Amino acid sequence: MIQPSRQARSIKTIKRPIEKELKIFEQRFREDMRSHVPLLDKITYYIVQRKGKQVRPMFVFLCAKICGEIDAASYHAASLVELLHTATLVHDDVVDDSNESQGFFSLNAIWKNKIAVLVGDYLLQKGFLIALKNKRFELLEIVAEAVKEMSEGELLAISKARKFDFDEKNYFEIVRKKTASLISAACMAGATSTTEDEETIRKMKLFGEKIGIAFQLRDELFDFGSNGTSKPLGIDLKEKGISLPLVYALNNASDSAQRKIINYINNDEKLEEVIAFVKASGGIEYAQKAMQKYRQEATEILQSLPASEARTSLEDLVDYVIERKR
Amino acid sequence: MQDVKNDLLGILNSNLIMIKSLETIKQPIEEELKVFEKMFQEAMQSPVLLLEKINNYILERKGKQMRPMFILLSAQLCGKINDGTYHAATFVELLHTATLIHDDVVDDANERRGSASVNALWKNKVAVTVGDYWFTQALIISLKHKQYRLLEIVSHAVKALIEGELLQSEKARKLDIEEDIYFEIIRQKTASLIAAGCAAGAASATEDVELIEKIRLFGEKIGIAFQIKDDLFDYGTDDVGKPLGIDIKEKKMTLPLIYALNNATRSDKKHIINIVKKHNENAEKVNEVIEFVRASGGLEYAEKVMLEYRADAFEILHSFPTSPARESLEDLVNFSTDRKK
Repeated sequence: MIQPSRQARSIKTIKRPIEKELKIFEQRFREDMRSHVPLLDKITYYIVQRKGKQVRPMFVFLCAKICGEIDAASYHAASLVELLHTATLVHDDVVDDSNESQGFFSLNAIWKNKIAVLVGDYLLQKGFLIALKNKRFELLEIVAEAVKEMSEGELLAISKARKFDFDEKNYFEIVRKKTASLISAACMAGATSTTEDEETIRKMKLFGEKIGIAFQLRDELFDFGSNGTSKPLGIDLKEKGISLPLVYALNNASDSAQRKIINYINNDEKLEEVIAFVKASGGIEYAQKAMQKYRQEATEILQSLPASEARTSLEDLVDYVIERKR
Repeated sequence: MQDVKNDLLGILNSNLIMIKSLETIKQPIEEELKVFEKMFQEAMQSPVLLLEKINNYILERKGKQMRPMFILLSAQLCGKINDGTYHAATFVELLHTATLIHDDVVDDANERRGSASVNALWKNKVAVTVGDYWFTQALIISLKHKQYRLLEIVSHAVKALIEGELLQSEKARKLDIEEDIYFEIIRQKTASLIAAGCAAGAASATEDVELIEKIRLFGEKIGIAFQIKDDLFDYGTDDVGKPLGIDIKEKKMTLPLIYALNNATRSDKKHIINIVKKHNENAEKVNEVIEFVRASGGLEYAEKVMLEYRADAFEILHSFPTSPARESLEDLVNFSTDRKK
């Protein structure tokens, strides 16, 4: 396609220009998470252990480096983004209907919800305090704005899913707010930590948004089992909201087909039928095309910046997001 | 029959006095409260329809707005109400509301101020998300207006709020009955935000650090008194209120209960703790706890402690020269401890 024969490089190679910084960050983040409340300490320890590839701090540091010299502010930006990201992840664990069933399981669900709300709140305020203590007002505003957008996106997604709204414009609005806003904030905060040039900061923000949307589209394609090897993961509308392949398929279906598929959506037994319907109507290709478009736009933004080691890594990170096997 | 009539008259009268007095307290800051109200409503506007709907639901059921009053009056006591004061009031009220929404999820509570809670109507996930939205919105507004001083003052309260909630959860599980833990929890959960609000209000009108600290302390005292009053409501303080038993149901250790347990025989203590732990859904057994607390003088004790905090609050106020703002604050203090709901 538009980006032909670049070989997707490993995360390890991508990390190289910021290896030292990521190590220092990791250690600081562990310290930040430490608490004098024993229960909390246990939970946050578990969260830190479970942490994955540190994609967001990578975006922060690489965007910082592309714009200037990584400094103390860059570390604060990374901590802030990671704390608030973790907080929203923990809040995502809150489930509905904890009081509908009786007995042990209901008690357990109530207890889990309690913990999820409290720990999420704790992490939110922790990020807030670290930013204030270090007078990183600008960074705090960038990240707080992202969390606000994520909340809006979440609520938008819930209300659209409840109404079976599959308007494509609404779909992109939700993805931009729910998924892309935090990566966008990570890039913007990284840039803000090392440059004052507003045009560059704006560019990095937009870059983050593009790659964030591409990231989400990649995930959705996995759900339809489009990477050849793995089985489709399912399309639980209640859990995951509406995906672009489905949006496209529904918008291009007859009224009766639409109604039928909508009835099937939350029914596990009909999963294969829904997937077949989406595939037959070209929803997969459509989403793939959209993903490549966002990837292309992200790459173009990068190429408008002077070449550097950090820029190459970001380009590779873009490729990685698109070509990863999960 | 005559008794019933007298009771009814009593209720009517006490309600009339209460309403009138709250109106009177509001009078010197009537205009300012309107400005605040407008700013607060603007802060809650959202392009997301569902959010707008929930925000309106909350706005229609808002409480007595004691916090904004404390904040505005604290500023007036020290100088002039200004933009910074309104920002302080907006921040504190947004934060307070966010906390309540999350509290209801944590406590799995279906009711708030006699209406269905947000989680009861829209479920937990929506409620948690709305709370997060309010918290970040409060933050963003203050940052946009460069209210850094305000953020600094309230940041400790934010920390205390969450830690208080965590502490309470942990203690509710273990049913700890130490008085100093109780005071630690309410200082963090209730008093810290009122204290920070009063301090932020004062800081918007004066630079005098000592003065600001004095008012912060005033806020803390009245915040604690306010919470003890709420504790008492759970037992139906006088002939008017019916006992609620909500705190018992949620295994919250309140001052009347703590006192009663600490002054009970070993077997009584074991029996009551067992009810709170295992039979807190059983209305009859909850009533037994309420009767036990009443009989052991827990209500009188809590009332006495509350009045001590009130006296401390008054003492601080009286170190200021008389003024309409001081008078209103005194009235507000009295209202906090004498209110009927």
